[in-house]
Amino acid sequence: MTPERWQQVSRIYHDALARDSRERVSFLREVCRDDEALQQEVESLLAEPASAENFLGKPALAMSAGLVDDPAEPPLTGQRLGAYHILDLIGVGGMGEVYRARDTKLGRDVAVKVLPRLFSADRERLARFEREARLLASLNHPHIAAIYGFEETAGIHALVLELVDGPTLADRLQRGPLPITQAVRIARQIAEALEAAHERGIVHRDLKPQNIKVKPDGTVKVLDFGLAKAATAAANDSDVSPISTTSIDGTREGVILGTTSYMSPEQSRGRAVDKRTDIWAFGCVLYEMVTGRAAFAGETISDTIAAILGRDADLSKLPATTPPGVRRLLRRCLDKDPKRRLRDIGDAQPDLDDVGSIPATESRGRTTWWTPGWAVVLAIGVAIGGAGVWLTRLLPRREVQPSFSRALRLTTTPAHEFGPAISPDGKWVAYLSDARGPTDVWVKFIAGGEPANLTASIGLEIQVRSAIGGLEISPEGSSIAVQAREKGSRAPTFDTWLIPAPLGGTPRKFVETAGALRWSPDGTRIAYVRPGETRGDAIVVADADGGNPRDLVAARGGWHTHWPAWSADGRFVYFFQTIATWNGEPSEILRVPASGGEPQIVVHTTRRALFPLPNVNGGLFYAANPNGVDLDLWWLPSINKEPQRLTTGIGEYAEPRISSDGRRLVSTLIEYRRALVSMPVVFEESPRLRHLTDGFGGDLEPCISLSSGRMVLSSSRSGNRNLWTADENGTNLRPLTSDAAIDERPSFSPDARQVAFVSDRGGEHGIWVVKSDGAAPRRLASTPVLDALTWSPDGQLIAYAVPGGDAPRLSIVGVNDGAMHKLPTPNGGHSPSWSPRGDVIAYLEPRGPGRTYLKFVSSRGQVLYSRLPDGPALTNGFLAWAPDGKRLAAVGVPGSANASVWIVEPESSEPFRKLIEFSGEVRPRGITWSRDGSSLIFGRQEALSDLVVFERPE
Amino acid sequence: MRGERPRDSFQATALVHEAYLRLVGTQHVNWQNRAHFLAMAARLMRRILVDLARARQYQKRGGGALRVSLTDALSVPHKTEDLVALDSALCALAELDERRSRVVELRFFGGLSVEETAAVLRISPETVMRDWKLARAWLRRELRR
Repeated sequence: MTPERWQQVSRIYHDALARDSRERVSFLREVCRDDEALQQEVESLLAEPASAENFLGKPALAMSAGLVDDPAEPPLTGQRLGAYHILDLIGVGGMGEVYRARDTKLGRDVAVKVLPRLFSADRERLARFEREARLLASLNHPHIAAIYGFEETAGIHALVLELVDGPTLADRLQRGPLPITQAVRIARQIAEALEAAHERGIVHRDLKPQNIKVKPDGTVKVLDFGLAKAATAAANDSDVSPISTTSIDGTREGVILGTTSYMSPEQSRGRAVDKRTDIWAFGCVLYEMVTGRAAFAGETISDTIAAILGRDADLSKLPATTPPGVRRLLRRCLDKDPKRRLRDIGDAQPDLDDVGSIPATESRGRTTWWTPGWAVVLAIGVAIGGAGVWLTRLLPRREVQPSFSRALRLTTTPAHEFGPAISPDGKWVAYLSDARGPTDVWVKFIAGGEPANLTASIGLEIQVRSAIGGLEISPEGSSIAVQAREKGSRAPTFDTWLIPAPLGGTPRKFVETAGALRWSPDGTRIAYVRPGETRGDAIVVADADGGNPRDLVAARGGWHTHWPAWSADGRFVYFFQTIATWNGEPSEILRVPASGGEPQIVVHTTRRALFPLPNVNGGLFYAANPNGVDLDLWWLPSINKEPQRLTTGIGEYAEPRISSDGRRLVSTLIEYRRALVSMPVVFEESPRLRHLTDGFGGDLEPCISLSSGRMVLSSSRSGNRNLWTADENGTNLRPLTSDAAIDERPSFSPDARQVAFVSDRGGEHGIWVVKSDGAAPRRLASTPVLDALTWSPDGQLIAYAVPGGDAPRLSIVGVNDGAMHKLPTPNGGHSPSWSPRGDVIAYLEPRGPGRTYLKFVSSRGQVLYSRLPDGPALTNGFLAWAPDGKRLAAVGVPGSANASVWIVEPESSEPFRKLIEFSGEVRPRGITWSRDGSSLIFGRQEALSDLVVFERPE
Repeated sequence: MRGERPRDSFQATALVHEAYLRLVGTQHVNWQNRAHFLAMAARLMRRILVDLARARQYQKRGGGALRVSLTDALSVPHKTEDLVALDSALCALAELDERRSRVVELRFFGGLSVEETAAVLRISPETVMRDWKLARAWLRRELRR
C-alpha cells in the first residue's frame, strides 16, 4: 500500500465510523465504488471490535514485570525458617517477599523479608549485604523499625525485622490530606528518626510514604532504613550510589510508575547523595501530607523526573491554614540545590513547633486508617541513576561472563568527554575533555572529588580525534600517554607524549608520529599506531624505551587500523580495521602474534566491530552493532565463542577500558545529534545555519535532484538506517526503503527516476539501485564502497571509491549491465563527484599526512586539473559539484583540525574560499546544493559523550 | 522446596533503570522542552523492551524458555503475539503513516496520556484519539494475520 492509498483508507474509515452500522454498508459501497480491495481494507479495519479497548490499553512498562519476571513461585507460607514459623505473605517488594512469621524462641511476631534467589546466589554480594544489615541492626530508635537479624536456612536468606502493624502513610494519603496537627505530629517523629540515623552516618535514601507506618496509637515507624543501599551499593564505596525504589503499580490503568516522586534532584541526576537527600524526601512527604498530593508527580517516570529537575513544588497548593513554620520548612527542604537546602534535619524541629500558634480545632473523629486488604504494591527496588545496572542479569549466566553489578556516570558535563583510560588499580580515570574549551587531559578519582586538568598550562595541543586510541596509563600507573604536539606547531602529525600521573607535571615527547600507544602487560614493550589517514595506518611494536621499532601490521589503503590492545599474557596484539567510510562500515577485529605473523580475524561484521579489549581473565570485550545503528558493548567468551551483548538502549558505548583486576570497566557513552542543516553560500563571519530537521531522527547524507527538486537522505528515524525522501526544505518526509539492512549514502540519478545507494543487504556490502517510488530495489554490484556514489550526467554510469593496496582507488560501474572497471588514476583517490554538466569527475587524492590533492579526471582517465590546496586540509573529505558545474563544495574532515567547508572555483585566482569551520565534535556527513545554487544542505553530526564506569563488587 | 526460577524483580528494575540512566545522563542535551523529553523516553522504552523481548526469543534453550507473552496485557484472545511482532508491525505502519505509528509509540511505549501525546506531536487530542483508534485496529489486524 502506498501512503496515498493509506490516507484514503483512513479517511473512509473515520467517515464510516461516524455513521451508524446500518448506514455503513451503503456508505462504503458508494465511496469505494467498484474498488473492491479498498472496500475490503476498510471493512477489515472496521471489523476490529471496539470492545478490544484493552488491546495496547496498558502501557508497555506496566506489563514489563510480566515480561521479565518469571511466574510466581509458591509462597513460603506454612514453612519453617530456622526459629521462624512463616504465617502469611504480607507484601512483595523489590527486595523480595515479606512474610509475617512467629519467632518461636522469643514468642513474638516478626516480619521476614526473603531475598530473591538471584540476589542470594552471589556470595560476595550477600556477604556485603549482611555486613550492611548488621550496621543497620545497630540502629535502635523508637521511630525506626528494628532489624533483628539475618537468617540463612536451606539456601534461603532472609532479614528478620520488627513487625509493624498498621497501614502505611501512603495508604492513608490515598484518602486525602491530613489535618495539619496530625501531619506535623507525624513529621516530627519522622524527623527524629532521620536525626538519629544521620547522627550515626546512616542515610535512608528511600524515604517515602510507602516506607512509613503509622500505628493505630499514632506512633510512627520508618521502615527499610538504608536497605536500598545495602541491596545495591558497595559498602566501602564513598561515592555511594543514589538509590530509590520505584513501584510498578499494576492496579491503575495508565499509570506506569508511581514512586520516583521522592527522589532528590541530585539523586535523579545520578550524583552522590548524602543526608540532604533524605531532607528533600522529608519535604516531599510533608508536602504530600499537608496537600494530599505528591510534590512532584507525573504519569511516567520521565515525566516525574522532568518535574523534579525542572520546576519547584507548588506551594500555592498548601491550605490557607498552613502555619508559617511549615511553609518555611517546606521551602528549605525542597530547595533543588543541596548546598542551600536545610542542612540538618534537627533544624526542622523549631519550624514544626511553630505550629503551636495555630488553633487546634480538628475533629476528634476516628482515626482508623486500617483499610483491610490494602493493595499490595509490587514495589520494584530500582536503584535509580548511576547505581546498579544489572547489565548481565538480562542475559543467561555463563561461568566466564564478567558481571558488573552497577554503573556510575563518571562525568555529566555538557562538554565532550572521551578517550578514557583507567588506572591499573581501578581507582582513577584519565580522559580527554573539552570542558575548558580546548581539549585537555583530565584525571578523576572514581571515589569522588573534582577532576584535575593536567594539560591546561603545559603547552601541548592534544589530538582531538579519539577513535585511534584514546589515552593510556603505564602499567605501574605513573605516566599517561597522549597523542599531542607542541602548541603552535603546524606539523600535520601528532606524537605521543608522556605526562606524569596522576597529578601531572612536565610532559616529555616519547614517540614521534605515533598514537594509540599501549604498554604490554609486563611493561617491557609498547605497541602504537603510525597514522596514515586514508592511505592506511600501520601498527608498530617497539621496546619499552621506544627503541627497536618494527612494523607489526602493514598499512592497507582505504582502511583505518586503530586501537591496538595487548592480550593479558602479552602474546597477541588485538586491533580493529574499519574501511575509511563515513561510518566505518564494514569493520573487523583482528589479532596478530606480538612477535610477528599473519593477522587473524577475530570478529567479522558487515557493520562495525571496534575497540577490542581482552579481558584479564580471558575473553574479549568489544563494541559492535550487528543488528542496529548504534554500538553496544559485547562480550566474546573464550570458551564457546558466542558473543553476548552487555548493554542496550540509545547512544553508543565505545572505547571500553578495564582495570588490571577486571573489577572496573570505563566506557564512553556517545549521544549523536544528526540533523539536516541548510547554509547560504555567502562568505561572512558567522554563516546563518538553519536546521531543516531536529537532531533526533538521525538524518544525514542529503542529495537533492536537480530535475525534481526532491531530496533523498538516509535517516534512522524509523529505528534503522533507511532512505527517505523529502522536499528541498526538509518537509514532507516519506520513507523510500525499509529493509532491515542499513541503507545509506543515497544519490539521485540525473533524471530523478532512480536512487543509487550503499547497503549491507544480504550480509554483503554493495551498490543498490531503487526506483524513486521505492519499487524494484536491485543489487548493482557487490563491493565495499568507501564514500560517495555519483552518477554520470547521462545516467549510464556510477563512480565510487574502493579500498586498495596502498591507497583507495576509483571505480565505475555500468547502471544497466553492472560491469565494473577501474578508473585509471595515478595515485588512487576517493570521494568522486561527477559534474552535472560534463565528463568531469572531481575527486580527492591522499598523498600523505596533511597532503590531499583535489583532482579532476574524465571517465577515460584523462587528468584535467590537479591542485594541492595550501589552505584547507581536505583529508577524509568529500565533494559536491554545484548545479552550474562551475563550482564545487569541498568538505575536509582532517584528523588534526576542525572540519570545514570550502567553495572551490577552479578557474579563479583564489580557488579555495572557506565557507565555515565547525567546532569540536561536529562533522558534516554528506553535502548537496539547493537547486538554485544559493545554499548548501548537509548532514550535521555532533557527538556528545560522557564516561560511564561499570563496576563488579569484590 | 522452592521452584527453580524465583521471582526476580531486579530484572524489570534494570530495565527502567537503564532507560533512566541514559535519559538523565543526557541532561546536558538541553531538552528543547518536556514534550521532547517524553518522546525520547518513549523511543527508548520501545527499544529496550523490544531488545529484551528479542533476546528472550533467542534464549529458547533449556526449561526456562520463556516466550514473551503479551496475551494478558493485550487481551488478544487465543493468540499469543509478542513485542517483537508488534514492533515490526509498528515499523510497517510507520512507512504508511509516520504520525499514527508515533501515536502508538508514545501512548503504548511511553505511557503518555492523550493530551501529552497531542502536545508532543503538536496535534489536537481529538486527532490523537482518532489516530489511536485506527492504528490499534490496524495493528490488531496485522498481529492476527
